Amino acid sequence: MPRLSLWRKDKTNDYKFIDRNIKEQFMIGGTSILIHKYIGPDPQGETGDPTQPNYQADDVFNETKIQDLLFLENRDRKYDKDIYDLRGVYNVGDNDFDLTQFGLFINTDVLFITFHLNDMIERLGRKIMAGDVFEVPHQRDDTLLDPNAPAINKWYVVQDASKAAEGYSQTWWPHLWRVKAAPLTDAQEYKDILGQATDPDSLKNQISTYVKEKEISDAIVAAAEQEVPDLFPDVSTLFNYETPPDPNGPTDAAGFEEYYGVPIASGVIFPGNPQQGEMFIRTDFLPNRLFVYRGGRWARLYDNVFPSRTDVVSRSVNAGGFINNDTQGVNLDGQAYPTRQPISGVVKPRTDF
Amino acid sequence: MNYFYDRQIRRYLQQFMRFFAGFSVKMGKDANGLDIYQKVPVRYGDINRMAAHILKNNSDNTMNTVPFIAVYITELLPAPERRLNPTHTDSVQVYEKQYDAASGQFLDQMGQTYTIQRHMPVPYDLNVQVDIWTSNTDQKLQLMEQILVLFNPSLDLRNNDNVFDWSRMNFVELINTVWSVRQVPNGTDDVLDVASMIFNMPIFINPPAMVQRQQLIYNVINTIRAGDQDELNQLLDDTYISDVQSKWQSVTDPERAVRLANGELTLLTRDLKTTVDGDLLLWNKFLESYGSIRNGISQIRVNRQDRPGVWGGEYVGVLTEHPTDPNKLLVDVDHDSLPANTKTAINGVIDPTRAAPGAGLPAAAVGQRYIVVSSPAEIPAWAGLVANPEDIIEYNGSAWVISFDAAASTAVEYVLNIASNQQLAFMDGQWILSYEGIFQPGYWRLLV
Repeated sequence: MPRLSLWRKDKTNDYKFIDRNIKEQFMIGGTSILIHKYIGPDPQGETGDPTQPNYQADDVFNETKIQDLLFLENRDRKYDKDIYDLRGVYNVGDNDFDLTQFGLFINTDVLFITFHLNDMIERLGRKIMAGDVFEVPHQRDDTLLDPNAPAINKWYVVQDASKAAEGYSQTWWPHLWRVKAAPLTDAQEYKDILGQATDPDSLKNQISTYVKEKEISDAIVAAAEQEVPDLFPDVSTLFNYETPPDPNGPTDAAGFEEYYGVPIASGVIFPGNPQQGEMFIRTDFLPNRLFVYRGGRWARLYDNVFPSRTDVVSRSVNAGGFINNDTQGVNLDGQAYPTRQPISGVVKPRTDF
Repeated sequence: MNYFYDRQIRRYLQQFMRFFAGFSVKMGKDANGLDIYQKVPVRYGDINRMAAHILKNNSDNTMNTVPFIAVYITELLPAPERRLNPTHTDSVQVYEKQYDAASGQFLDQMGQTYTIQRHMPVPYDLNVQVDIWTSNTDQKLQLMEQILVLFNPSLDLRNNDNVFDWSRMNFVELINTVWSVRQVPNGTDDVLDVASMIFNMPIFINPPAMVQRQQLIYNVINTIRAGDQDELNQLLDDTYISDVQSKWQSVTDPERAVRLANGELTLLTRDLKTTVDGDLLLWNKFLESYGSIRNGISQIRVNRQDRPGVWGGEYVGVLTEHPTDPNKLLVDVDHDSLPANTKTAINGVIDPTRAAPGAGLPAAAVGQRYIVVSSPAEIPAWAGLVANPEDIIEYNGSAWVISFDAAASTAVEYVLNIASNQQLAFMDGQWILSYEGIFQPGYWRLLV
């Protein structure tokens, strides 16, 4: 007579009996969790970089692929358009907000949700993995501060997943899948779910702070532009002051004086004993360059660049004209090409075939 | 201390944050295979909890967005190495254009005039941290590359556009970076990464300026010339250039008059007093915002035109500080600036009741001319000459005759008195020194 043992190397009827009861317990006592299933990196086309393979060309496109083999990250993710409804169980806890430069965080708002393993695989086709996105309907908030705002669900993203310790039955086979999920951020990784900022009806614009943050950012820029509308001080109401200079004006030190309103010393060498705050134009720099003496050094303020000198970037940024360059060139074959190109990619030999 | 606040650090921050408000990141491709770019918002990092909750619509369901840039001040340090004379002040003269309320336009004419006194500002080093929140390394590299290329080593920053703010031009320098607060190995949370950049701004905090209505008769000459090579040669030869465009403007003090007499220029109130509330009017106090009298160089210019501010034909005197009286300046009149004489020079101004040819005056000779201040009719020495005060009499070789009949003249006349070498002017029925008198506001100006 064989010895009594619940352990079997195969999943026997004992296992199935227990598993059905656990599943039923989840169906009765669990809460609905809506799963946005990750299905693989979103194809980005040919990059020419072996560390960023074009899986689309190989027609191998699934969750097993990693988009960037250098940084080992999947930043452009594709999610199943179907949403899977599973039952999960977790302990609801109290949370405290943590205020950071980024905004309000709930650092402890990490859920450890358990799912029934076989039910999950039956519905989802695989186990829940890191990168899958949850909606938790029972945390839906329909009383937002803005009474006209639509109700929004609570979103999480799976960070880790493994078998739950409490999910082993007497047969020693696991029945539960434990998932660690953190609150979702409105990030590039989830644009397939949330949509784009340019779409006013996108989920992103409803449930993320992006729109408000953008409004705040724009207001700050507007305030700054109000204080300093352009490169030149506003002397339009003053008598005997030069108005903003002609963009086609002189390229010498006079341009600075027009700007500053009073003469500024200039020359090819700095004064021997400068005062703090003293300004000096180096005329041996082409274009001429305005310096100010602060601390123990002559600090560059900006260059007298014409005719685009009303452009702050062109005057202040060393490579401003190279960065803000939208011009097109035409080669001998009559083909247009952008004159702004990455330094690493300019005029490379072409392939023969 | 009275309250004042000019939002100076706030403005520095706004201009600084402006640098970081225009960056975008590529966020993959859309359904059509086109690149998606998203502008990265920037805002102040050290925010209020209430504002943070409002941002999230009072719901923990609202998602924070990345990429995102937060800016906040980490240090504000005194900068003693940049400190200058703490009590230094500086003055700037300001001339506004005249405002036409009817048209709502500024006219190309002088309007209000002010003197702006600026007090030495206090230097500080403002250190600002920029946190770059991203959700993946590629995104972070996109932003870092766009920002890092700008600071080589610094960027120009203006905290306002007022031409009279002597500390408005500043610069920002990148002094350090912290690559990631999510160090290897990863912590419990790898959703977000934060890279930090620390910037330094050598700034100044200014006390309020003192703006006063300009109280000096002060002349601004703005000459616009347009000429060809020949005219340029004329200019180099110091010869007059005809047909060149010139624009002259002057500003006058509406509160002060002067008296020019006896080679002295006295500062007066409008009602011709030399004191205000018992205090003597002092030229050096009056001029302190503009400099001081340069002996032998500074000029007084007076105007005898009918209207104030009309400076044609003004008389010029060169000024020297008075050795004893601070209410006065010594004046050396430039005779070349005086109007041309309209009458033949006279030998002197005489009282014919007290002096006569051969009796206090030289013997009569042909061409001798005098202005008389009383009637000589009853004096035998003048042989029955009938003249009235202010007339010019002249000896014609046989008798004294009236050369200029004051009672019959109304026009302004000028004549040189050979005895005193001073020019006299005939105005309102009497002879006076042509450049002496009291000049009300608008009828005099200084070139200092």
